[in-house]
Amino acid sequence: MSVVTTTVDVTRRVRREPLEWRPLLLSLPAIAILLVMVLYPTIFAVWTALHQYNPMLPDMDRFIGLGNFEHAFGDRIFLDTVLRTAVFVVVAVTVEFVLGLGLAIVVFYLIAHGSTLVRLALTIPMIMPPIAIGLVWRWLFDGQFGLINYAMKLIGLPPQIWLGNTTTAMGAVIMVEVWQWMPFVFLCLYAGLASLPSEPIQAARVDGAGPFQLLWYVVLPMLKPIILVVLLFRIIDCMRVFDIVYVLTEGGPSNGTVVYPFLIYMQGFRYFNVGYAAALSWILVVFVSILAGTLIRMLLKSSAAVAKAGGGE
Amino acid sequence: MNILLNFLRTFLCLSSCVVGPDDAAEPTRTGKTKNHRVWGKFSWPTSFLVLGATTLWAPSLRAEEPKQLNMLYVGVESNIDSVRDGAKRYEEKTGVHINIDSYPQTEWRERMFTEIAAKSPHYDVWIVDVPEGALVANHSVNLLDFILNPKVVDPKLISPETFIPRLMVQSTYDPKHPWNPPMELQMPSYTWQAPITMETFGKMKKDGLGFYGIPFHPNVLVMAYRKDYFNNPDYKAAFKAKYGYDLIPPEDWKQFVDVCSFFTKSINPNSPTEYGCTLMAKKHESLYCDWRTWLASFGVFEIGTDMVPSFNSEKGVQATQFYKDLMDKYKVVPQAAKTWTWDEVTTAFGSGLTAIAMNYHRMLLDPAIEQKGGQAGFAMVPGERQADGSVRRAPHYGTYYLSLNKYANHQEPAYKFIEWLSSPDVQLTFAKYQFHSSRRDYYQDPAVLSKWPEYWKPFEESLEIGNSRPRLTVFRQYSETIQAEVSSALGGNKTVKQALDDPACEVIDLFKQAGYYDALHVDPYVKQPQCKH
Repeated sequence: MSVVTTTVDVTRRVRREPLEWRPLLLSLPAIAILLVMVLYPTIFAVWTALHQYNPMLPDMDRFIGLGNFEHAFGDRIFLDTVLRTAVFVVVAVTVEFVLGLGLAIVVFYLIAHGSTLVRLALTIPMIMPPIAIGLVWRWLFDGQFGLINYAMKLIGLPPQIWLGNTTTAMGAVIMVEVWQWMPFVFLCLYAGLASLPSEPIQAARVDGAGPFQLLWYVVLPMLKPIILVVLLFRIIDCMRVFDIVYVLTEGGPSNGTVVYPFLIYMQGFRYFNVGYAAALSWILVVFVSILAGTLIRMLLKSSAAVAKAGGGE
Repeated sequence: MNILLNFLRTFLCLSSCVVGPDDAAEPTRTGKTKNHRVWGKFSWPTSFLVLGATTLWAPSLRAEEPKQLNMLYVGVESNIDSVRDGAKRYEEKTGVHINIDSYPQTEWRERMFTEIAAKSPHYDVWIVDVPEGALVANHSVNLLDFILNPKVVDPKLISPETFIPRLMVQSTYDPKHPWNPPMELQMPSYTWQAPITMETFGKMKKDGLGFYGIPFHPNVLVMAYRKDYFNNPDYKAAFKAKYGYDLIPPEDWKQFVDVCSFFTKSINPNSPTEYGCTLMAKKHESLYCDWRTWLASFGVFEIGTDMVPSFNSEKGVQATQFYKDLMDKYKVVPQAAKTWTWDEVTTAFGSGLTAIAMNYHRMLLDPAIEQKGGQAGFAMVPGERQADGSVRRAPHYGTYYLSLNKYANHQEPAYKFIEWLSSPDVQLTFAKYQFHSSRRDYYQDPAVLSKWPEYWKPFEESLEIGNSRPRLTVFRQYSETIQAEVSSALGGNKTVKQALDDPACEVIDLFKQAGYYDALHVDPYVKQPQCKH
């Protein structure tokens, strides 16, 4: 009975409070911008994905339901591109991670002086514009005038047409991606190493752990949440690689370096198949959301485990 | 919608007229400005009546006397300097300011299609590149409405007889099916053969054709060669001793292989250049343009009037195989050419790597090479020798043309501007910018010839016999399909035959989706049965 009375009282109190319009009014511009910039494009993207829509050919515009998605999953170019993008992401992220982690450990534990210089030097590729990077590397990889082939000739190796063969061209794109973004992995993991508590490491040393045991059983488990964050960033970033491919190879030779975002670009901006491009974008959104969700769940679990092991909060 | 916009514009205009700077600044005793008092004297219904009348009247006024025309243009590729110069002089002459927005090719395309998608009236004039022509045709003004109107046209300015005939057909389309026929030479011959006269336009109208732009800035593939080597007595003698005929710029493909071999160091150690020639064989539009030059010289039309691809014919395979052989069999072209476009070819020739190269602009040698006596000469690209001894050359060409936005408000004044800008006399004044003219007279003019006498002659001759890209609404997809497959053949991932059969089927699928076969009631599988799923 008393519970009921309390509820009634609370309701009455709430009703008595005058509605404050000012905060609502002040936030209206932001809400309006949000609606215009996010909600409308999202609804439009759904609408276009369900239409055969080419703004240049308005007569052919018609509702086709899931036709664009059906077309994608039956299209050889789409399937090849998905596979190629998966290879690109797996190889690039793996190499970036292995090199970045290795370098972070070496610089953090072994280089007592000059680590600031190394960190600064490694930041340079990240702050360079991707278009400039692509142009410079395109020249470096040139089969006739390139510096790489020149160096190979000097040491007696036969020159290669790096960007003229599907395998080496994809290798070249991956290499440039790694060159630019491995420093990001390095910096994040370096910061992670610097933030680790020293007690567990000292305790492991006292217990007689060697360097590799220390790394494998103590340092890496404690670093796991940061590793997952780094992987999350890098995987999502690699899945939307575009500029390097655009400048370096334009998707060639053959279609050997056409990755998923480049395919969307070609469909949307070169062929104006906006409906199909929207469908491809939605497929990417769904896939990345699932992947990111899985990684975030893993991240939360590992953070909880680290906190529990450390007796933290 | 336009009425509403006009209303708003007029409203703003009237507001700014009523609110003069002095009035607005002077407060009254009641705290209101003088302007408020002025407005107070009008009743709102009267104001709206006045505004409405002005709005309805305004468009016709603007159509006659615009103060400014907006133009969308491609920068370097179609010589923006000359157009800026022309626009400035047009303003001096007529008082109409020409606002030019210039973009690089890719951005220009995206900008133009964004404008079209929005049916925006902003640009009055836009330049169109031929591959986009079929897609843009139905968003552009049919210029025959002006050209055939004696009150509008100035025959001296349009001067059809001075156009290089083949350029005229580039902007001529059937409005019902702008994509058919796909190749320009499949159009009625009067649209691309001399004489082109004012009557030609009348005939076009009678036949239901539309003329969607005035040809303005063409480009065509021309061969550059090292003139100093070709004139060198020692090389001449050595070449004659080896091949039995004089060393001249090659005219047919056999001579091309001989000359290129002679200037390739791995074949002739005494060659002054590393390689005889080069190509632009990266998976890129340049590869497609190169490939179709070879294909057409072997007598192949890429697509028939029934829209069925024919590039995978026996002759098509031969032409493509020959193109590949120049790199892989004869080895007279650097392997790196498989990653080169027009830019790298310019570098290769300019730096002295090759004795011969082909491109769409006049290539220069490095100043250091010129100082040592290096000279560049120019000739038409070779072709296939015919049984009667003639040579079938088919250099790839295209033209930018000046077109009018169908959704713009100032169509007639815009027409007057492009008619003037493209007129023979005005084009002549662009010679100082090394402008590529669409007029025959330009290439006969002593002032023009005095600048680059050796370049303009083969350039104009090539335009007279060139072959242009198919006119498709899905051109970019078509071109990229070919690029990817020919690139596969060059990389050794497919045989040449396979690399042409596969895209033939892909192109049929593409054309089917575009509705071409339904519109023409054609079954493409009769000619290409292997493509039937």
